[in-house]
Amino acid sequence: MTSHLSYHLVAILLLMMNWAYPVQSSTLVADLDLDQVSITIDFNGESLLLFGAVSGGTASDIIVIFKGPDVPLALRKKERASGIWMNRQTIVWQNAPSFYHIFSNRTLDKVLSKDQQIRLRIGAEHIGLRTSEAMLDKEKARAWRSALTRNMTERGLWKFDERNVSIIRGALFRAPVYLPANIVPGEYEVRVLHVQKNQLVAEDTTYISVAKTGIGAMIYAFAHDYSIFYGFFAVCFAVFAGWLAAAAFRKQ
Amino acid sequence: MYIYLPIAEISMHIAVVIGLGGGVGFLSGMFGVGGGFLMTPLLIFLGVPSAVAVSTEANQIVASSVSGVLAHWRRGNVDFKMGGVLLAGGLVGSSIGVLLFSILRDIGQIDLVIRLSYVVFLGITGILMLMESVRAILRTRQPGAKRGKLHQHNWLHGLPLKVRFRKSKLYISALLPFFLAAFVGVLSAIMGVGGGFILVPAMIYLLGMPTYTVIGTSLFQIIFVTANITILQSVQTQTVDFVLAGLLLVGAVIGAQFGARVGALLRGEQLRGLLALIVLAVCMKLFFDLVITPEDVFSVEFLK
Repeated sequence: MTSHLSYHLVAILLLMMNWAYPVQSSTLVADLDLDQVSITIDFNGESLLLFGAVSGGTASDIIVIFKGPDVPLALRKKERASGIWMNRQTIVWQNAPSFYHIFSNRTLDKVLSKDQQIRLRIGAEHIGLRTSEAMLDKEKARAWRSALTRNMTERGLWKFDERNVSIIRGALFRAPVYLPANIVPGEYEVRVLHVQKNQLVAEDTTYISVAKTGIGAMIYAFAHDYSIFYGFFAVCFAVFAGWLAAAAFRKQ
Repeated sequence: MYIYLPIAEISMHIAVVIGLGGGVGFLSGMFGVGGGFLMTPLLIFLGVPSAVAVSTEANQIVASSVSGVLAHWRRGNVDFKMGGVLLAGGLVGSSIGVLLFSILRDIGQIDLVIRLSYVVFLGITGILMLMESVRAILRTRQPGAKRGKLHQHNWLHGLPLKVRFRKSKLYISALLPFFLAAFVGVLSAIMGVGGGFILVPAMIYLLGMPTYTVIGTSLFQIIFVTANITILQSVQTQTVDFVLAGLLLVGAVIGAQFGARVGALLRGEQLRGLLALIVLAVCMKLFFDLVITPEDVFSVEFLK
């Protein structure tokens, strides 16, 4: 795998650099094996490898926060009305992350205390999500918030407290990341934290863009920028296809 | 091999898409129906957003109706005058339907209305068809039964604006086919169907058209109604995925050929009875989805 090779090469390079320029405090460098994720016509999710190195001390705990662009989301609640389940309540989240994965080498709560998680803005409760209506009722707020997390987790878009960061010889680390097929295009932010005894000692942030490319992107742009022509095109295409089908299978 | 559908914005296995087209195409070839009433719910079950499912299915029905109408046209079984009145009503109805669709989508009730419409209209047609075919099967077992009149006149035929439809041998109010087609047009836009399952029986029993002109004429008007929906949805919601429509069509064209061969082996009333059972099965599935307590009462939707 070329990704694995590049991971090793870069990691070695990083280590050498750190030996060459020793620093007093701990530093951390992280990167991904791809610069860009392309949503092409055959896109079905993408596996990425996050890797990096820590210098000036042993890597004790690494936390990775992978966050996609913020989007407005509607969360709807069904209730039974005359025997039928229908949406009766809606709350709009104005700035929910479309993708939000947090992973570390061991259970997050063991690495960082709750207070520290709040201070470092880690976790869905601590990133200042705005809702369409103020949720004064604590019980209701908790129910809706956990429903949002549950629904996003089911779609593979949110995932918290996964222990899939491996630390190698106290200096290198790596973690596999999976972007599912239903991700939203945009700029993705990857924050990597080095934590020691509940204290943040080093941090690095890298970005990766997810963009539609190729024929699929062209069709999407055509449909959105020239929608009336797209509509006529779709009809002409259908008329031609229908005629073709009739001609091909015409009974003699 | 997976394909990322550019408008639906989901990834599906290409074999699933073509297989779905083929399966529905087989049934539509076998029973001589459009198949939209099967395709749209199946697309929604497979995770295609309901707006994309409805708009894309309209686009696909344009193709299947064009392909179907050509044979009827060659045989001279299209009543263009009646078709013109129907399509005027259909255009008005489907435009209202597209508007209603986007309002319902904004308030988060579109899935409910789609499901309710399916339950009600598939339920009614399914039961009527089943009763009719059972009667027909019983009648063939007792020979010598009398045939009914060609068609019966009622007060609806006496409305103003009477027009002579030569090909269909009718002299009836133009308002009747106009409003019938307008009503079906609304349903067509909301349910993602051609509406043949309502239009065809209504043209036979309500308008009293002779059976041989009904299929060709209804296909003729369905082309324009679904083309109208395709264009309006393209402009208003950008939810027409012609890649998805094209792939479904490939399967449907091939499936319909095999379906037609199997259908030729069965008698008309047996076919109608079978079709009624399929219609009722879809109706029941959607009905249970509405009444059974959902696994999660919450659902999330991306707003754009």
